Amino acid sequence: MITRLLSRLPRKRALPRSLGLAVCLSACLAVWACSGPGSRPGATSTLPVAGGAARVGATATPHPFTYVALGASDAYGIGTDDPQADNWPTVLALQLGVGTHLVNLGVPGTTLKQALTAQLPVAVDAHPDVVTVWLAVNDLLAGVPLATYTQELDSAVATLRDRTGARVYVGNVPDLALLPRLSGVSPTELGAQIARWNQTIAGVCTAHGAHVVDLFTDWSELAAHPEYVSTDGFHPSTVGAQRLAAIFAAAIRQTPAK
Amino acid sequence: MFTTSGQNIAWPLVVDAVAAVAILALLAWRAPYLARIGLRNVGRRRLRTALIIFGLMLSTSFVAMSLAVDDTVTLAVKTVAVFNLGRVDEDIVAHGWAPQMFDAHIGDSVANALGTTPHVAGVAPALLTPNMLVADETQRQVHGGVTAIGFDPSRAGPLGDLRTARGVPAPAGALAPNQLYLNRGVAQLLFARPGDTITLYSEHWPGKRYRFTVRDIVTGGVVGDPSAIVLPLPVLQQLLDVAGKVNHIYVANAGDGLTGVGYSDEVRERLEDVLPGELHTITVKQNGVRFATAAEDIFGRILTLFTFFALFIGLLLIFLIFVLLVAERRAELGVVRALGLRRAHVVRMLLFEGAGYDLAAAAIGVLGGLGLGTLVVALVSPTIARIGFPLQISVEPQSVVIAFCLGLLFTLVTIWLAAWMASRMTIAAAMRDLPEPPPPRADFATLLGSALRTSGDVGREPTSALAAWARVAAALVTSGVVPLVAGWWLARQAIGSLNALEFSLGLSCIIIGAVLALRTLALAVVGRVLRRRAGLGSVSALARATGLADRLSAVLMGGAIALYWSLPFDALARFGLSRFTGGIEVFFVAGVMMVFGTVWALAPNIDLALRPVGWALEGLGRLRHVLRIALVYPAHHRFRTGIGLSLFSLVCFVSVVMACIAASATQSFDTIPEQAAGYDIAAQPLFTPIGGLAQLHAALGNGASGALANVDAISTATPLPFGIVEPDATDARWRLYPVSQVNGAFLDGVGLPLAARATGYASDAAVWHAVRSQPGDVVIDAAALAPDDAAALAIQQPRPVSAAQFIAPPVAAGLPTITNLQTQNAQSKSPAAANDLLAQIAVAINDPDILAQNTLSLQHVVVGAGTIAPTTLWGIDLRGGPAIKLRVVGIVNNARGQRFGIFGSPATFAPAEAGLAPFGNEYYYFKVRSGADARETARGLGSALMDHGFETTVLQDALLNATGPSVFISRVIVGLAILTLLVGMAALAVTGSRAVIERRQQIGMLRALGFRRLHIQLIFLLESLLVGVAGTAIGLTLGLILCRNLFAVDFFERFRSGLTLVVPWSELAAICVAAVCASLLASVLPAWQAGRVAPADAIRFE
Repeated sequence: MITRLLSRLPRKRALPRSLGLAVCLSACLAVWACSGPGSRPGATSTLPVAGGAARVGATATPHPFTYVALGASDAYGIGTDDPQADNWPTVLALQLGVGTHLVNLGVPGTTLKQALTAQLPVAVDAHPDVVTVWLAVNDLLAGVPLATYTQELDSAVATLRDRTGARVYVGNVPDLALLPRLSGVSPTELGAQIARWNQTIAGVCTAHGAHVVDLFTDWSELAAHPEYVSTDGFHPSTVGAQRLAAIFAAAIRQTPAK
Repeated sequence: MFTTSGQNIAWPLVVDAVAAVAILALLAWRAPYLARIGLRNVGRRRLRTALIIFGLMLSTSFVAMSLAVDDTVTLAVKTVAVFNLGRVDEDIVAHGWAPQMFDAHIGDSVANALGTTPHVAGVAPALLTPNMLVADETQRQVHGGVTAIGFDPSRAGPLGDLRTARGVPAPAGALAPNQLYLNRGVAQLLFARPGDTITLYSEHWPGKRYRFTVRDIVTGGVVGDPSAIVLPLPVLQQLLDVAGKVNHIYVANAGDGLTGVGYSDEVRERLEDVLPGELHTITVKQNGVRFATAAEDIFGRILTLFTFFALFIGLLLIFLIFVLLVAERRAELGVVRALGLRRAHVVRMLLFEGAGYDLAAAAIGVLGGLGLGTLVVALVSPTIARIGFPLQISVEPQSVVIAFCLGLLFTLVTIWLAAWMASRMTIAAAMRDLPEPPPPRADFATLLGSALRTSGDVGREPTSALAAWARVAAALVTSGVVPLVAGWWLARQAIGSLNALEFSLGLSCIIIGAVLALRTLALAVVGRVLRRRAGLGSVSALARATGLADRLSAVLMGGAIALYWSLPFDALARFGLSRFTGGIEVFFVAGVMMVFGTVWALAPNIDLALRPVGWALEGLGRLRHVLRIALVYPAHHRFRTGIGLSLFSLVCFVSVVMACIAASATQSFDTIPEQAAGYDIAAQPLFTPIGGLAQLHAALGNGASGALANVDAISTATPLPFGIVEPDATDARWRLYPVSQVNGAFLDGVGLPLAARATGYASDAAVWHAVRSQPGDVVIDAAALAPDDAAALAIQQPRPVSAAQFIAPPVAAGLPTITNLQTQNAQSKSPAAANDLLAQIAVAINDPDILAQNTLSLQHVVVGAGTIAPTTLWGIDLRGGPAIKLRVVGIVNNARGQRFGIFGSPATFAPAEAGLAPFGNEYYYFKVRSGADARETARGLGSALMDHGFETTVLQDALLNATGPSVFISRVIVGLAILTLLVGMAALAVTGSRAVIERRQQIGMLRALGFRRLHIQLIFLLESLLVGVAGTAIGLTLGLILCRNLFAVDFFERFRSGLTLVVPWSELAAICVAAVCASLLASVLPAWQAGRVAPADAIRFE
């Protein structure tokens, strides 16, 4: 039932897979063209990261602390006033400290399967200290079977943990029913679906020593803050991106490097 | 050319010129004796008269030449626009993005409605189909992007006037259903002849092909320059399945192709009442002419700048000639004054003489200028002929009138000014040829009192009263009051209107006023102190103080003005002032002010400046006296030296500026072989992909008799739509950059010269070996470097990457015949999604600002001279697929902006492309053996690969077509620069020869004292050399500063010229050497004349 419902939705990955990246990139650029310079609040406070320089398995790198963001359009900054500066990984990197080197691999419209081949190799090669992964919403809306997703997520987290030793933070699926664009979907069915996905995400993270960033819980404040969502009714706005960065920052702060 | 149109200024100039001549005639009628005395000198010495007329005519010649060149280019540009559009003046189409079909009968009602208009000569409903693929089966050639035209010839008038190459009419009605006409452009590309069999392919009839026979090759009528074929209208309607429909109605105006444009507005207004609501009129030819004229504007601006400078140089020369003329006759004029003539009479006398020269000079100057213009056009014509630019000398009558009147008036005013200044003389000193004593000093109160007293007597002595008030006014100027007030007023006005020129002139006046006021104040204080302390000795002390103050104030005023005008034009904005605006005239005034400021600071102190030279020459034995005298004359006659120095500095200055603009234009436009990267032919299969080099060789065969017999090297390139990330970059995120998978000679570096190698690679060959054999190793063009990195490698960066480069092949990208996307898309075997993808990316990257923000920029990769650190990139095909790791091991030189991209081997990109459909098209490049004919080779290749639809393009032809007018511009500018230098030399020779006559007595005295001929000649040569060296140094330095300012504010970018500053050091060195040699050469004749002066005659000379 939920699959049928979702199939009628204006899904984020409504275009053929081969076009997804380019179209979203184009859309992003178009949004960029329309947006002004915008303010960049939230870029001031910084979060000291303990053990930033202690990296496991890193080879020689000129960067003292590398943070890699695997993600989709939100990581790219779609929905914000200035995608280049206001995307949430950039805001988070500023909070991680002055010496943080960010590699933002967010590609609009991407699914986890695409990220496994397009983003994961780059992330591993960057020898990161911290990795954030938020690649679930596109898969859920695209109707990717949970089993397939689980397998892919397992592969991604395992690779990151085993080959880089970085601390990995995986964002789960927020309450999508709060998004204006998905207002036509039955909240109950969607909630049940999200719960199953989040349970799986939590399981994979536990298995590999990664950390879940519980966006379902923390992002529920969206109901009281409509300004967190951009005018497209789906992507985080500039303020929303700051809040997202704060949620990830809090998660990182709670789990300092060993 | 000028901002005011020629029509507007011609009549006022004629009225002014007639008035000036009438006033002169009236004055001559009132005082005929003065006219007789003045004009008597004109016919006395013919050689001298000829030299003076030559000098005077230069300014007129410059104006006439510029107007002639401008008229010629304007007409040529308009003709090109007309040539491109055929005889179509108005095009009636349906509203909407693509032309919609409508009923052909509407054409009849349009023709009926316009039938009563005498300004309409023909109406033709027409059906157009763009982007046809045409294959000549007989010649085995293919060409894409051809437009098929079918039109109703019944009421077409000149629109149906198709002609063969022999001028024979080729009516459209004569075409049989299986026949067509080719226009000249497509016939040349297909090597087609009448009788050939042509097959037409189109996206409108996929999977089908239609055969026709070429009836003839035609021009004129509805057929313009772009590739087109003409079919019978019913046949084309049948092919497109649109019986009775058309999508255009063409209208031809009366007159010829060019003059008919004048009726376009009237015809359009008339059509508005006739046309149904879904149709509208486009005045295509009027728009085309406007666009072409606007494109020519950049050339007009450069020419205007040159004309301003040249005119000014000419006027300065006139001034100098007249100052020398008066100096030569100083004693004679002193006698005339002693006999009772007033200063005004002397001025009038000189003016009559000058007017005699002026009238002759203006007439000859116009003819000379037209001759020079013709010469410039003739010099560049051979180059232009290659691109089919219809260049024929053309001069509008009003241009002749403008040149004559401008020359006459400017020369007359300059002569009057020179005569007025030179006639100020003390009679006794003039008669004895002694230096002019300093003018008597009087304080302001005394002058004012005198003026008030004489005002009471104005009825009886009007000239005295006028002179007294003039002295008061002069005192107000020299004390700085007037300049300060005028400067403040100008600057205040300019702040309101944001006029850069007004503000800068105001500020200059304030500088002058402030220094003059300081000088006046300081001298007043010093004078008071000296009078109190030194008593009688105060006079000489005050004179010394005045001299010192004059020197200091000249340095301060001249230096400050030169410095201010040398500042970048947006310098004031950095200090919080608004950004001022201005046109080309700002740069002209800036140039003149810079030169004058420098000379103003230098000339009064030239004796001090030359003192070290004198000390250095002390040890030269006997010749030191010669050298010392050579230095004394310029130091003594500072005003004249200053004028001469200004003249020569300006000549060098203009030469340097023009050389830099020419080099910049040449770099941008005139580098066909470099833009083609050494390749001669570009080709692409339009039917079926060939599949790579091996398949190409297999298809063509390698035998000496095959199509590759004349080919030296072959390369292939396939553009790929890639996203790139540089993980180590400061802002590491996915970005865009053109990527090309290359093979063949490209992988040996042919056409991709390296500007830098990664550490660990001993040679370019090692880099290319890595690119060939190490999957992942790539090179990238220099446009990807951040500015600091490019500067560290001393690399000249091209213009930023543009949208065209993402879908184009790496070499000669952007040429219409090579990157014809529509044709590609129509014939592409790629899935439709790929075409959508192209469109999506094109939309996103078509905004230069967005593209610039998202373009890859490599920072901090340079580690030494010509060396970079191997740089890791990751790339993904935007259509999907895995990321691949790339390692940049070399930087490709891309100064000409024709080699954008990341270049790697097929093995490098294979993992990313696995499972993806081919993207875009394969491009093949052929380098033809030396001496072989590229066109014939291209024809052979196209013929051999006809089954693949192998469209070949001769790169040189395509590049010339694309950049032809710009090439023309660069050539003309070079011609003007050379001409300026030559004229400057001539001017120096004229002034040098006048100086000999003036100094005849002095020469005789030196000869009597024992100086030999050689010594005299040496003195003249050295004096000239001094002016030459100083003028060259000033001109070079200031010219470079002006060029930097000109390009720093992107003045030419307003016209989308794409010009970036290039300093042609070797050419500048040549200009400097030529200028110094010119100064010596120019003094050879005067020196020779001086050496021939007999001492006894010279001493008696008066």
